[in-house]
Amino acid sequence: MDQDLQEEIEYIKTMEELSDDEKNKLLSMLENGENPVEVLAKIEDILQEKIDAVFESAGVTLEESNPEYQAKYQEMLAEMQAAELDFNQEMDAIKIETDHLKDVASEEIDQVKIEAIKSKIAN
Amino acid sequence: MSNFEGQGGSIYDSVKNKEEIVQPVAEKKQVEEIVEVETVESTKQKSLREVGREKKDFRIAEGREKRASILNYGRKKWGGVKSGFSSSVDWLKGKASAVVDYAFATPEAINRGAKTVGEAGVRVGEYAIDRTVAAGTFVAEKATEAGKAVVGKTVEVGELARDGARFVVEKTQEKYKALETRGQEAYGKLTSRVSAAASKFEEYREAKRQEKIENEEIKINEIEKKAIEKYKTRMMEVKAMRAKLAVKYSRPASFKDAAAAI
Repeated sequence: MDQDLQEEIEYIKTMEELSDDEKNKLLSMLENGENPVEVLAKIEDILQEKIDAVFESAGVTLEESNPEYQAKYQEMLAEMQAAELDFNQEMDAIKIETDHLKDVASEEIDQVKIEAIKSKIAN
Repeated sequence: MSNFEGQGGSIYDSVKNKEEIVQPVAEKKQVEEIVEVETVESTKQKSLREVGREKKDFRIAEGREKRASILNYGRKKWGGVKSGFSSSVDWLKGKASAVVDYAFATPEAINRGAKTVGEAGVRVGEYAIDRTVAAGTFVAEKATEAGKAVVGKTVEVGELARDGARFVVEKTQEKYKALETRGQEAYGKLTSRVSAAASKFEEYREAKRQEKIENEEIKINEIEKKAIEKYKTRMMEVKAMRAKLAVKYSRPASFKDAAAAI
């Protein structure tokens, strides 16, 4: 097994901040082929939720109806969507270039074959 | 009800008591009404708060889901584009290989043909008069020479074809590599921008919390403080681990095989 993956599994098992149920879900994600990086991101979310819960229980609640809060939230979503859009554009451009490159190379190989045939005929 | 219990004495006392009692009862009723109203209000407030919390939790969860789905989508899309490079190179290598095989295939056939003609000439000569034997040998030698010449030339053509095909494949591979670097950068930019946006929002939330703690003088007890610190420390550790593995696992490899050994 991949060493990093094994380390991550052992790491999750020893995390005392997580409940057994949470650990089992995370390990199950890895067993089902989920990307280990995304599983780590999931752990970050769980930890953040736990931090939120402690603050909530201490009476520190955030006012989600606050326009500033909403604006910040929308700003985050907008930046994520912009990043996704830029990424998609670049991937599409790369895909087009990849296909073009393949066509050009294919034509060049055909040309090599034509030259070979010509040389043989010349014999 | 406890005001009526254990009350005794004259009718006057009884009436007086009743008057006295009426007042507290009225007051009590008023208090109860207020309490009731307050209870209803607090129920309403609680309900609204719960709805708000659910809404907020939903929104936070939505933001986290969004981040996860973009990263997951990005990884798959980048993986698809990247695997396109290798499949294109494989296809090109296959095509180049076929051309090279074609270019080299003829000499063997010609060689076989020349050998056959030469052997036939010798056999014909052996069964004829001396003069024909000489002619047969001559034909055999000429055929072999001609065959060798064609073979030599065709090998040359084959080698040229191989060099040409190799050049095309190598040049194309280099270009694919440049595209791969570009794609890797784009994927890295996506993950860092998305994570930065999420972190920025969490930092804002953290700052607002601190603001609220200071403004409203909210006391957080030691146990809660320790719990928060513990989660934060662990969070930093997980973030570092994720950053370390991010490049390695940006590939679209199936982890099922590796995971099967768990």
